This record gives sequence, C-alpha cells and structure tokens, in this order.
Amino acid sequence: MLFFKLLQFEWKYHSKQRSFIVFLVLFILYGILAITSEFQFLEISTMYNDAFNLNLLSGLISLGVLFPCMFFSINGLLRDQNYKSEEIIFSTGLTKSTFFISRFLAIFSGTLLVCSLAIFGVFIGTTLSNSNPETIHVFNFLHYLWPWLTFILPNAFILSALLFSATLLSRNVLITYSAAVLIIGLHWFSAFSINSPLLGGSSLSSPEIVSQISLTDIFGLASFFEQTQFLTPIEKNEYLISFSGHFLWNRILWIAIGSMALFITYKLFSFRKINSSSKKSVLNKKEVANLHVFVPVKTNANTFRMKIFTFWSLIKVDFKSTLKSVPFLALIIIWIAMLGFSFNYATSGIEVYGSRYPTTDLFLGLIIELLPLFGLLLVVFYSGELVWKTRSHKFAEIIDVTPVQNAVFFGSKLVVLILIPMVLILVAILTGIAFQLIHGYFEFNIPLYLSTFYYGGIQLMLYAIFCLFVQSMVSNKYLGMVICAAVIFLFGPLSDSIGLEHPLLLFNNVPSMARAYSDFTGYGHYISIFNWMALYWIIFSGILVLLSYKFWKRGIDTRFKVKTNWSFKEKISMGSLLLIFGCVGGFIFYNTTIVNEYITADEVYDFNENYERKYKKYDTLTVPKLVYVSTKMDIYPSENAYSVSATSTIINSSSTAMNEIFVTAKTPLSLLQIENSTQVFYDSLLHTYLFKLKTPLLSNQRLKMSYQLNKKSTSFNIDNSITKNGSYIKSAQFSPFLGYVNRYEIRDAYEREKRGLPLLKNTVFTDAHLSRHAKFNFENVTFETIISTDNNQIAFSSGQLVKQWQTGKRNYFQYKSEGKIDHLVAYFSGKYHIEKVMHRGINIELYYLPKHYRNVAEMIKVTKATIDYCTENFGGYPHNYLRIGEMSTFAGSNGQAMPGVISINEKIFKKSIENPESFNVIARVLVHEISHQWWGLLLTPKQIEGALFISESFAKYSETVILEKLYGKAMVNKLSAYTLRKYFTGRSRASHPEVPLYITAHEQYLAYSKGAIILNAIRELIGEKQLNTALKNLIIKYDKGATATSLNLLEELYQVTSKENHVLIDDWIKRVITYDLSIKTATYKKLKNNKYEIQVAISSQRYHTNKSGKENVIEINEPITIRVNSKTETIYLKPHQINKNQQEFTIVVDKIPEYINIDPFFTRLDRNVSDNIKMILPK
Amino acid sequence: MSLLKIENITKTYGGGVNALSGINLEINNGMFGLLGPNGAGKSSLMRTLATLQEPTSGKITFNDVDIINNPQEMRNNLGYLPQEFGVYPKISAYELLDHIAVLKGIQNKKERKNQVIALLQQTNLYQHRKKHVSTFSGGMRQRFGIAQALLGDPKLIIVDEPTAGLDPEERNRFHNLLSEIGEHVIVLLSTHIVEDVRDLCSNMAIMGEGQIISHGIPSELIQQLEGQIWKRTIKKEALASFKTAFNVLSTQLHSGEIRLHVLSETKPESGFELINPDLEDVYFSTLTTKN
Repeated sequence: MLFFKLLQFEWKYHSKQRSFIVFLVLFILYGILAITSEFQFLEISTMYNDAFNLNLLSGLISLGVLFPCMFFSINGLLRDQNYKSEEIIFSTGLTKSTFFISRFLAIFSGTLLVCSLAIFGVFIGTTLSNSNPETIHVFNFLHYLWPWLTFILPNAFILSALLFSATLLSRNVLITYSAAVLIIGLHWFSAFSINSPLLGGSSLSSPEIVSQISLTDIFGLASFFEQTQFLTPIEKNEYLISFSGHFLWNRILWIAIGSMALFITYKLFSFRKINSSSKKSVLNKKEVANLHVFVPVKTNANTFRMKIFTFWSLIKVDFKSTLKSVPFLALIIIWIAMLGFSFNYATSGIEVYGSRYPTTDLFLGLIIELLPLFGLLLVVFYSGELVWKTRSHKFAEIIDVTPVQNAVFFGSKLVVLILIPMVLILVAILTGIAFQLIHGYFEFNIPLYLSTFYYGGIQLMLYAIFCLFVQSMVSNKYLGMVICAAVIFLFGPLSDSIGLEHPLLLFNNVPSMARAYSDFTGYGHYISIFNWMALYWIIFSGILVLLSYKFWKRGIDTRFKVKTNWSFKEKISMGSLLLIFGCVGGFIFYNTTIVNEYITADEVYDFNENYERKYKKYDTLTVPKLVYVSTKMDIYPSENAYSVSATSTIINSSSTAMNEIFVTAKTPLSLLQIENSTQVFYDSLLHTYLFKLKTPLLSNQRLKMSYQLNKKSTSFNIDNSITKNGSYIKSAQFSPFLGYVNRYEIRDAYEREKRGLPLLKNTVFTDAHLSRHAKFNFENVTFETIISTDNNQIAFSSGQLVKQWQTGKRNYFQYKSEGKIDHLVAYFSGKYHIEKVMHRGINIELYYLPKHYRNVAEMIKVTKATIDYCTENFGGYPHNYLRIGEMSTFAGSNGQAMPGVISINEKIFKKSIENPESFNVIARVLVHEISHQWWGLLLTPKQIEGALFISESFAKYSETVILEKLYGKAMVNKLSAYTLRKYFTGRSRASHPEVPLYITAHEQYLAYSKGAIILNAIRELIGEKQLNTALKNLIIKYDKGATATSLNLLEELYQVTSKENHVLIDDWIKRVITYDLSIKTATYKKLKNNKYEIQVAISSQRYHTNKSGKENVIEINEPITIRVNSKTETIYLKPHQINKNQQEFTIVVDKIPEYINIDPFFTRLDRNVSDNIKMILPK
Repeated sequence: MSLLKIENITKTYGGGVNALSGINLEINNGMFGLLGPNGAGKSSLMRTLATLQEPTSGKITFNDVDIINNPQEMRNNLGYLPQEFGVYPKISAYELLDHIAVLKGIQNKKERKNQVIALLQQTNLYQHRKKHVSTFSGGMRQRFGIAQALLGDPKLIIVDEPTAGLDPEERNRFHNLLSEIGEHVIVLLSTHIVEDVRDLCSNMAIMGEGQIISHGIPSELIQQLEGQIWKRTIKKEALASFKTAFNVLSTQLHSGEIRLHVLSETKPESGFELINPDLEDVYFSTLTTKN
C-alpha cells in the first residue's frame, strides 16, 4: 500500500509542476492542429485522419514526447538532489525497489498520458475540422487503438526507461539532455538514411538500407514507412501496420533494450552512492609557502576598464565550465558524427545519386540545414542552465553581493549563450575541412566557411537572446525551457499551421541560406533580403535584451517583478530601438507587400477564381498560332534586369474567321500591339487584354504582333532567371498566351464548391479524345534574335550564330534558325569558358564556369556517344550545332532541352566520376537532355494527354540503352531498380487513382518512371532493334509538326510485334497492371553428365487497377525472364512463359548454381522485388 | 570610521509574514553581535543589508549613502558570508577566490594573488587550494566562505552564522581573524551562540520576532543583572514545579541533575545561590521578559 501512496504522491508532485500543465496543453493543441490545419506531411495520404495518418501521427507524437519525458525524469529524479532532501528520503525505511518502481511508473505514466492526450486532440481535431469532407475518414476506434498499442505505448516505455536510467545513474541534468539529444540524433540518422518522407524524401532508399534501419530506429517509424511505402491511397486509408517482420523485431529489440537499461540501473543504483561525488582526496604533503599576510586591497569596481575585465572573467568562468563538462563534449561528438555521416552521404552518392566532389558550398548547405536541429536544442538547454547557474548551485548570495553591475552579469551570460552555438559552427567548419583533406580535395573556401557564422549563426543568436529573455522572466528554469521550445516549434515547423505567412510575423525567421548558394553568384541576391530580415529581428532582439536586462533577477527574490524605474538613458534606448524597429519593419513591409504584391495561398485561389469568372467566356475563341518570332533580348546582369522587345507573326490556322484575340500575359508587358486591331480592354490586375480585329482574320491569313517588357530582380522580389552571372531566361517565362488559359482554373473540387464555382466535368476518356485539337500546341517557328549583354559575358540561344559584335560596353550576338524550330527557347548569359568539338558535322559547344572544369572531357564523351546512338537508331540530328549551357542551381531541375540547346545544372558539373562503382549521374542527365532533341523536339508530340509519356519515357529509354553501352548492365540495373521504386512511391502518394500510361497528363511517376519500365519490358519482349525501328518510323512520320499522340506510338509498336503480343502491350500502356512475382523454392541436383538440374517453384500474380483505384486479380500469360547465376557469372538467362499462379520449372545448367532470379532487370511492375531472388540449395 | 544606520526597517513577505518590524540600529566600526534564536529575523536583516532583498519600508544608510536606492554603493564596500551556500562544480578554491576577487573589483593581478594566498593561509586552506571546492567538507567550505567575504577591502563585513560547523580550533582562528579586521571596519556578526558575541563583540543587539529587544555594550548589559541571577541544582522531576514557581531563565543538564538559573531581585528560596551574571543570562532574561 505504501507503494500506491508513493505513486500517488509522485503524481501529485508532477501534476503541480507548471511545465506539466504546459505540456498537456501543447500536446492536445498539437493533436487538434494536426487535423484542423492539415499538416503538410499528412498529405502523403488522401485522408487526414485515415489509418495511415493516425499511425504516422502516433509515431510523431511519440517522438515529440521525448521532451516531456526528459523533463519528467529530471523533475522526478533530481528533485531530491536539487532541494537537498535526498539524505532524508534515502535514510527512511523506503526500500530500493519501492523507490525505483514508483518513480519510474510516475514518469512512464506521465509520458503516456501526454501522448494519449495528443491522440485525443487528433480525435477532437477531426470533429472540429472544416476540411473537405472527402479528406476526413469516418471514426474507426481500431485506427486509434492499434497505433496506440504498437507505437505510443512501447515508445513511451522505451523513452521513459532510457531517460530514467540516464538520469538516475548520472544524477546530472546535462547528461539527461545529452541522452535526449542522442536519441534525436539516432532518429535523425535513421530518417536520413532511409530518405524518410519526414525529411522531404521523395522515395525511400534501397530495400537493404531500409531493412537495416527498420530494425534500429528507436521509434519504429522506419519500419512503418517500409511497410507503407508502396501502398495505394485507398489501401492507406484502412492500413493497420502489420505486427510482423522488421516492425515486430524492432519492437522486441527496443523494449528489450529499455528493460535491460532499467535492470542495469536497478542493479547499479544505490542510495548510499549518492554522495560519492564528494569523496575526499588524500591531502598532499604540507606545502611550505611564504607566509602572506592579509592586507586589505583597494577595490574599484566602477571603472570602465574594470567592468570589461570583470565581464571577461565572468565569460571565461562560464564558458570554460561549459566546454569542460562531459555532456557538452558528448554533444560535440554526436554533432561531429552527424556531420560526418551527412557529408559522407552527400558525397559518396549511394544508389543512383552519384558521388560528388566535397565542395565547400555542399557542406555549408548541410551545416546550415542541420544547425537549427542541434543548435536550438543547445540554446534552450543552456539558456536555462546559465541563467539559473548561480541559483541552482546556491552560489547566488555570494555572487550577487559583489559590486558587479546587472549589465555586466547579463552581458556575460548573453555572450556565453551566443558562443555555445558558435562552437558548434566552428566544429562543423573544422569537420568539413578535415573531410575535404581526407578526400584529397584542397579547394576549401575559407571565407565561405566563415560566412556560416553569419548565415547559420544569426538565427541561433536571435533565439539565444529570446531564451535569455524568457529565462529572466520566469520563476522556474524548466518552465522557461518549455516556453522557449514551444515558441521555437510554433514559429518554426508549425508556423504554417497557425496561419502565419508574412515574414514580418514569423518570429526570428531569416531566409534559410542552405540552398541559396551558387558558384555563379555566391549567395548573390539572397544576401540583401537576408540582411534586411536579420536586421529587423536583431533590432527586435535588442528590445528583448533591454527588457531582460531590466528584469534581471538579483538576490533571493526570483518572482517576476515589474520594474518601473526606468532611467533616462534606458528610456531613450528603448524609444530609439522601437523607432528603428518600426522603420525597418515598415521598409520591409513596404517592399514585400506594397511595392511587390505579397500573395498568400488564398490569394492565389482568388486570382484563379476571378480569372475564370471574368474570362471563361473567351475559352471558345480560336487561338492564333505563331509562325515567326524575332526578339531583341537585352540582358543587364550587373543590374539584375533584362528587357525584351519581340515582333512575331501569327496565323489563323483554323477554318473559321477570327474576330477577337484574347491575350493573357504571364508577366506584365509594357507594350502589346496587334496589327489591324483595336484594344478593347486591359485588365491591370489579371494582366489580360482583348483585341478586336478591324477586319476578320480569315483562315491562313497572317498578322503582326509585337510586345515589350522589362523585368528586374529586386531584393524583395527575386527572379532567379536574371543574376549577376549565369542568367538563364526561358521564353516561356514572358511570352504571352494568345487565349484563355484553362489550367488557371481551380482543379480542387472542394475549393470550387466553397467558392461557388461550377464543378468541372469529369470527362469519360475514350481514344477519340486524343484526336481532338490541342489548344496551346507547340508550333515550330522561324526564329531570330539579337541578344546583348555586358561585355564581360557571353550570351547565346538557339539558332545559328550569324553575327557577333561589340558596341560600347556591350556584347551583341545575333542568332537565326536554319529552318523552323520549336518556339520555346532560352537565353543564356554568363562568364563562361567554351569547349568546342566537331563531331559528325555537328559543332558541340560546352559553355561552363571555369572552375567546373573537372567533368568536361566526360561530358564531351557522353555527348558524342549519345549523338552516335540517336542518329544511328532514331534519325538524323536536325541542327549543325549542339550547345550545352551550364545553368545555376536556382534553375531547379537537372537539365532542360531547347532546340539545339540543352541546359545542365551546375550540381551535375560538381558530380565526381572518379569512383567507377558509383552511379554516373553526369552521363544519365546528359543523355536524357540530348535525346530530347529527338524525343520532344524532332518528334514534338501534340500537347494533349500522353505527350509527356512520349517525350519523357523515350528520353528515359535512351538513358537505359546508352548508359548500358557506356558503363554496362550493372549500372543500368541500379537505375531500373530505383525507377521501379519511384513508380510505386509516386503511385502511393498520388492524389488521384492511376490512369493508363498513354493518357498520362502531368503525372511524373507515370511519364518518367512507369514509361521507362514499360519501354524496357517491350525491349526485352521484342528486342532493342525492333523497338528502335518502331521509334524511327514514328519520327519519320510525325516530324513535320506537333501531331503525334500516344496512339500513333501504339500503331508503330503493333507494326513490329507479333499479334499475340499486342494484348500484352495494351495491358502495359492502355491499362493499369501490376505484378507480384516471387521464387518460392529453388533446389538443384548434380546430373550424371556433370550438369546441374534446378527445380524452381514460381508464384506469380497479376492485378488490374480500375478507374477508382481498386485492384483485382487477373490472369497471367506472358514470357518473363529467369536468370541463374553461379558464384561468378550469369549461367542462364531466358524468358519462360508464365501462365499459372503457381508454376514449376526445370532448368539445366553447366556450373554449380548459386542463386536464381525472376525478372532480374526490373521490367515488371512488382511492388516487392526482394522475393524475386533466392539462393538455390542442393537437394 | 564607517557608520551604518538602520531606520525603521520592516520586511513583510508574501502571505503577510512579518519578518522584520521596525528595526532601528546604529553601528560603528568594531564587532557588532546580533544575537537571537532561530527565526528571529536575523538572516532577513542580514540579507536586506547585503542588498539581496529590498525592505518593505524603512531606510538604510551607509556613511550617509542611501543603500536601498543605491545598492551599488553598499556592494562596493561589502564582504558577506551567507548562512548557507554552495559552489560551482569543478573549480578549485584558488580559481574561485580569484574569480570573486575580480568580481569585487581587484584588477591588479599581483595584488589579487597575494591577497588570495594570504586568505587561503589564514583560513588554513592553503594546502587545499588546488582542490575543487565542491569536494570540501563542511568546515572547509565554511572557511572558504569566510575567505571570500574578506576579499578586497570591505568596510562592512556581514557574517551570518559563521561558526556553525567549525571545530573549536577553527573557531578560535576565525575569531582572531575577525577581531583583527574588526578594529578598522564594521563587522556584523549574526549568531545564536552567546559565546561568539561574548568573546568578540564590543556592541550587540538581541533580536526576537523581528524586533530588536535589547542592545548595548555586553559588559553594561551584564552589569544590569548584577545581584539578580540565582542558581540551584535540582532533580529532573522537580523541574515543572520550579518553572511555574520562578522565573527560570535557563536549565542545563549536569550529571543527570538540572542546574537552574532564575531571575529574581531577591533570593527566591533557600537552596538558591547568588552568582555573577554572564551574557547568556542577559540573552535569556531579555527573551523571557519579552515573552
């Protein structure tokens, strides 16, 4: 009974702590907000509260409960020590077991209560939510209960056990913090390794990595993602995690570790050992010293010099004791491990990411990304420790009566608190340099490294000040920590959810510079906005500093007191700080919100709604086509500006006369004129025009149209296409639409309903749809341009170089197309080096940044190989030049293709191919973009469903065949395995059920991933030669204009395949079919003739996914490749007709077989490929 | 010559507890003893004087400077040994004293070193100077506290229960040190041990329930009781009846019997014997009269 009394007492104690109440409120709020404000990561599933998301939330909540658990452990275990009651408690008749169990249970049950309430909050959230009803699942108790049993309960136990043990054994608060940081670090390591969706990963890592991590991730989230990565949206809605496989072992492993920790702690813990730290050391032999006589020494604490001296001494004592403490060293070691791991991950290039040179900017990005995770934790802990240090050591009465001024005390704490994260940055920089040295890379950029103190350090400094402010207000260190952590979360990861968008309201947020660096411009135009935001919050922090200085607690009274005795100097400082804060805020507001339109997510919808309501009536107008475009593009890199003056000819290609032309400008134009017409209106808000033609434009008649525009990138409205170096301006950014743009309409049915817009018609799709007319089709035009730029830069675009000259301080380049080319071009300007090579009559020109010289030879080699393969197999290259231009990292994608020109991201230039084992990304990207000269440009598909399938999956197919020629099958197989995972992950996260490949609209997982797999399957079925014949025929037939559709492709495929295979090709391209193949058993025996006979049992299933996303089993009858390997080589590779769900084959081979593999080249859409391979055992 | 003037100081804590009510004192150079039982308000007064808390009302001046509104002036001249204190972990006695010396305003390194070493020697801690203070025993720690209070050139030294936890030899050493310093500055000694005051103080006050009940020069206070203190040894069982019949000041167990001191202007009863009063009698008689 004593036990229950004790537990009751513990509970009473915990529940009286203010931080306990704060935690309860925060966690309930988190649960509610997760649903009502539709957390972004919940969008992996289609319903915010379906089984998948409830499980995910349970996992996340059990992760977040680490913080309360840590506080409970400290409060529950160290209070005897803090309040000096331990000798009393431990000398009572209390038995060790009663003490141990009651304290542990209190911490465990408190932790469990906090998470359970958060889940209850989720339940409340679903009832309060006013989201689209289709995104809310009906209440299902089991969906709550099962994750509670499998995640929350065990995780609460594991965390409590580990933190309880760490606290009880160390009796040191900082060790408990370190343990918590270590747990977070381990989780981060897991999440990072599996490329977790929580860190924004688009698909999980390879199954080998994922299966290892599934076992070792403390929270079990890795195995959750492992189980659910390929589930379709419908399956996710009802999926309860299966308590088996890695997940089961994970739970057993960690519960065992937790229990072990408790057991060991129980054995080691003893009441008597408490004071062992104050053991007395044996006295040294009496030292003889000259006798010093005590004489009073005049003190003078009030001179400026002495204040500085004192300030310095205080910093030294605090800083030294922090640096010397074991927990801090432990934290630094964890930090170095995290950095080393992520540096290695980023440079070694696992799977198909390819290895990278260990460049300084890469490491800086990682450091800046990781810093807040680690640095903010440290700031929160140490702000509490430092501010309360003298008091918690009961040393305050001695220190506080010294004649040191509050300002000096306060200032010294502030400096130490800022120095601590600076140590992290310093360590990170040293780790980076060491890493580069080890890898023999000596181009470390020291000034860039040092800039991290500013770009990465500012936010930590701001939060350090804020935490100091909070700690000087509150009456209890832990309460202060909880408040700080809550604010950091609220304005950090949760800011979206509480409806904060405007930068002036996002407390202590400066733009992240993690991905803002380019070798072209450095941090370039991001510096200015960063400085402004930093200044704004620094001034705000100045106000906080002044307040916390005023509220600095001295003496024995720790309650918060309002001090009204402001001195004149203080009043002036406060006044001027407020004034400057207002001015800077006003300036930023003026620039972000008044000069440049500040657009919230809702306002984007407003624009779309207004556009549709006002201009839908022009949807039926005929869209004129471009036939001739001539531009004058003046680029002013040093001013971050460009201006365009374009003259074009448009034609009425329809059969009816045209009376009006409706124009939608993408960026505001300074001039727009159409010959022989009057402008009816210009809508300055939506940037639309209507022109009435004076005489109707008859079929095939032409008109002149011209427009002009000026664009400038400013600090508060950054346009990444125009930079000081490496401008990359695409014509698609500014050329106006000559009609009503249907894709501006809101797609989301619920949003339409809310805004009272009529529902969009769901078209029932038939093949006939593909023969309809495409509104904004890609048209080939005669193109010419004169590009001018600063005289230290080179500019280029598509077309033949006609002329090049210099006038004044500007360089001019005139380009003209040799025939008609696609009208979408790009304009480059930068300080490039050019590598020129002539190959097959084609001028290959590689424009690159001089410092990115390392891969030039490789790029030229791959370019030649690609031109060779494509001309031999698909048809002649249409130009006599191929320009490859390096673009800055801001352009986003890896590469893009324009007529005769491709752009390649600088990231690709920094990849390393020194290790031949690692995947060659340079080749993959180059082949892809160059082959677009055939797929997309020579053969321009009609801009209608299926267009993306034609242009992208053939480019992906070209990757496969050319990479295989250059680097062998093994490298391509890596790519295929990855592509297969991308398909299933994309399908799993799609917002709509999968459509067949031939009517792909914009789904990348279909056009890129599934398309590539299917083309590989067809290649395996009919052979590369046959397939290329079909492709070549397709180009020959349709290279005149943008008319080819996916149906035309099918026709060509039928031409080269036998009749019985047409059904299979239809299955793959016109239906949604998936597979489940596996090898059940495989054995061999030796035959008399020294051969080996293999018996293999194969299980195979095929599924059809219908329009609503439901899967049904269908029958199978198709040839699938089976491969047998010996220890060293492939000894058997042949297709076998699979026509039953369970089938046995007998295979005879010459050598001892090692393992057998069905579909070894990943040509079938099989979710689980790990069971496609098996060791062959001797009978 | 320094002068500490305390005028009408009261201190009321949250919850209406009156820790100090209307304290008036004037203290000059020399040792001043503040005697009183636990809970009399001694520490409250000391902390108020040490600028660790503000009084609810009243005025304190040190050499005519108002130290409530100008605590800095007091801190410039103060040496303070709190009743109870801890230390930072992992810092040696020498380092910590040096740090406090800096905080007190000794900038010259040599002066600081000399004084710290001198204090370490005088508090008999010199051979322990490199050890972490957190590992010190109670007595050592107390001596460390004394050393830090004497750093610099304090004009006012406040020591709150300084001899608690010291063995007789250490106590002696401490008394010598204090009385040496006390010739030139004000030393305010708060204690509940009468001998401390008797041995050291030229002036004293007795506190009870937040008030000064008596103050003066010890010998004069003793003189006032001349001829009024009677002693008798009785059996334990008789104590209760004696306590009701006479004004019993103190009782002391002696070989199983009890020695009584009784305050009376005439001989209370046969068996009582007149003795010379000492400071203890002053203390108890003051407290008893008050009650």
